[in-house]
Amino acid sequence: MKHMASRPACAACLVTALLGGCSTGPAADPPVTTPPRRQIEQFVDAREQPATVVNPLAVYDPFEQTNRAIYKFNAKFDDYVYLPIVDAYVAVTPEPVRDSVSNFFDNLGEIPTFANSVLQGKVEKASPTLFRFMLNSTIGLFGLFDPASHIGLKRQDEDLGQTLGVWGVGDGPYLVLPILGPSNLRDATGTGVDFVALTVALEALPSDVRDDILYDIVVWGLWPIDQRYQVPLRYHSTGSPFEYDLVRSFVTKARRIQIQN
Amino acid sequence: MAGLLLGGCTTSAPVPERSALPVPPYDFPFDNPWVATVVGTPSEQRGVFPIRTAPQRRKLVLFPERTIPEGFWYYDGMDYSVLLQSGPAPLVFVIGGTGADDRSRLMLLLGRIMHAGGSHVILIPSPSHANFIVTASSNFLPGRAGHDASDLLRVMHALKDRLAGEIQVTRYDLAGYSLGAWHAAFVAKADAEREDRIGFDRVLLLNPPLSLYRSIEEIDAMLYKGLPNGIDGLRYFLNQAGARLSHAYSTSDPLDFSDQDFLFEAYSRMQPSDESLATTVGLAFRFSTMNLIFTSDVMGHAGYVFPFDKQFRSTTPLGDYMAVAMRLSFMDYFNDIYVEQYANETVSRQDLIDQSSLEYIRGWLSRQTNIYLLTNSDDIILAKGDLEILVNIFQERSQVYPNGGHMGNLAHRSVTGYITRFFTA
Repeated sequence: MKHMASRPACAACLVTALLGGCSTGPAADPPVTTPPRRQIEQFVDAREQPATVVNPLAVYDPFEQTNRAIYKFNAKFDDYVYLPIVDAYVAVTPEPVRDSVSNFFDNLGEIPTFANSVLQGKVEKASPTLFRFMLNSTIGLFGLFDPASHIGLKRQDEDLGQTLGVWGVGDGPYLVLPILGPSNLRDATGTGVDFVALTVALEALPSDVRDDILYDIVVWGLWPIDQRYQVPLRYHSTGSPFEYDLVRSFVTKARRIQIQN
Repeated sequence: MAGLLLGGCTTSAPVPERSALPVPPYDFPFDNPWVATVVGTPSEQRGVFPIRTAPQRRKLVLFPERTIPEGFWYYDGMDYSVLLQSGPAPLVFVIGGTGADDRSRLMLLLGRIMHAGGSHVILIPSPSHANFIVTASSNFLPGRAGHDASDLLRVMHALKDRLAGEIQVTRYDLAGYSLGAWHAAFVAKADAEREDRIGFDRVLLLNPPLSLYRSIEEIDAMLYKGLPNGIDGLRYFLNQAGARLSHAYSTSDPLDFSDQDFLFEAYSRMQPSDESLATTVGLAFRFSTMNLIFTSDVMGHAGYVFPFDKQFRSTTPLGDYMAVAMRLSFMDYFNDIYVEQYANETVSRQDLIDQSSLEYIRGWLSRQTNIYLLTNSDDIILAKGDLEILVNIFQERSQVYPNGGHMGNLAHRSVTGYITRFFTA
């Protein structure tokens, strides 16, 4: 918690407490094991050096065992549920259709990107995003096509987690969210708020749209499928027994860069 | 150049000049081997393969009785990929490089090239890859030529039998890159010495090390070029790299890997030093070593970095063990594990070093008119003098490009053209 700034700290504490409650408590007594031949003391003085030198890929992760269990759950969910659905989706749709589906949801994503660019005071991101949204929603037929990219307006990506980061909120503890995957307390909070905002926005749609079965299929079926379709990452494809640690370090680093940019 | 060398070889002519396709000129742009190795081939110079057959991933269970620790729950068999033809065709076995599996970038590229050329292709993970160690290695200790070769042949025989009813095979070929090329040479020899041989027709070694030991020395040294304090300074190095990346892309999102020229773009913007590039390559190898050492240790219950009497589970925090494993080099593995395991009264440490070199089987290799070498004169894994020895062994059966670093030019249309002709003509 030491990384957190004061403002959202209360909410953060609450979430932490909740998570702490469901993490597996310390087992009675860890079985005594024989020390391996090679140990860290042979390479660095672990008492003198900071933890970040001892393990350069270390990330603040107090709920590691729970996170690891969820990581495994996610990998299995991918194997047995998510990827088979995505594969079926790929099998029944031609690529241009899938591209348009992705464009459509990406176009909706311009709204939070715009809002968060404004919140971060980044005009250089807010204005092209606004222009992209206007262009793609009209000439691009409700976002099914992406003419904006063809004229060199690249898609930006900002979310509330990044905005909080820009405001100085630290990462907080690393979290692996069920199905959604690697995150941290700040970004998970941001994702939660973004999701609530979206739900409220969707509520504003006319009821004859929301009552249409097609609406449910698009929002609760197609959207999550497209989200997974767009991420090429596969669990355990690194070939490393340390994949959890490597992903944790990479994701944390990547988010810091995203926040800076 | 390729045409000249191939045309010049008339003895057994495994590669007749039937293909009418002209070989595109070799104009790979990077003379700096570090840049070549890291950045690879710019998209406009890559070979183009029209077919869109996706490799099919399959599983092979070789040791059904083996207990696999829960921490490796996702390895319930050796993963391999196939790209098959509908009619009769040659079958190429491809062996991955250090730490590579069947879905590694270079493996998929080789699969596409060979499949487009008309062959059935089977992509096999490197014996140094965790998946292979856990599911296909007989003793969990990769790196010993004869031993790895017999593990690989066990895999190939099993796959050959399994595919027998599914496809028609006109002949068997073999290829490998980097460490996989070294493996391929020993596999070809081991196969030739067996009674139930597969009988490889064409064998292509892409960027092999000559001596595993000498290449290990080269690779271990790379890491320190931009990282003088070793792994202790890794966090600082990564932070610097992150800051540079962030700065270079100050007006946009830098982590958009969808662009196929992402690496080239990042390189042009960041202009990294040779030292940083060498460290990047060294780090990639170091991560492979780390995975290899840990996996081998856990599977063999050797108690080297992980307590031999501790359970390896998916929920086991590994930070402390990773901190140790990432500080161990290939040389540590060699000295602490390999020599201890493989040296005995009749085989000394020096014997192990000598036997890890293609020179050890040079007499046999030089007589095999079907085994070809493809490499680059600036390959960074070769020690001084290694290239000359390699060319000396393979003579007119060597194809040496003037640049390309280590595997950097594999996607170049001239190189892909050579590979296509090698396996199809």
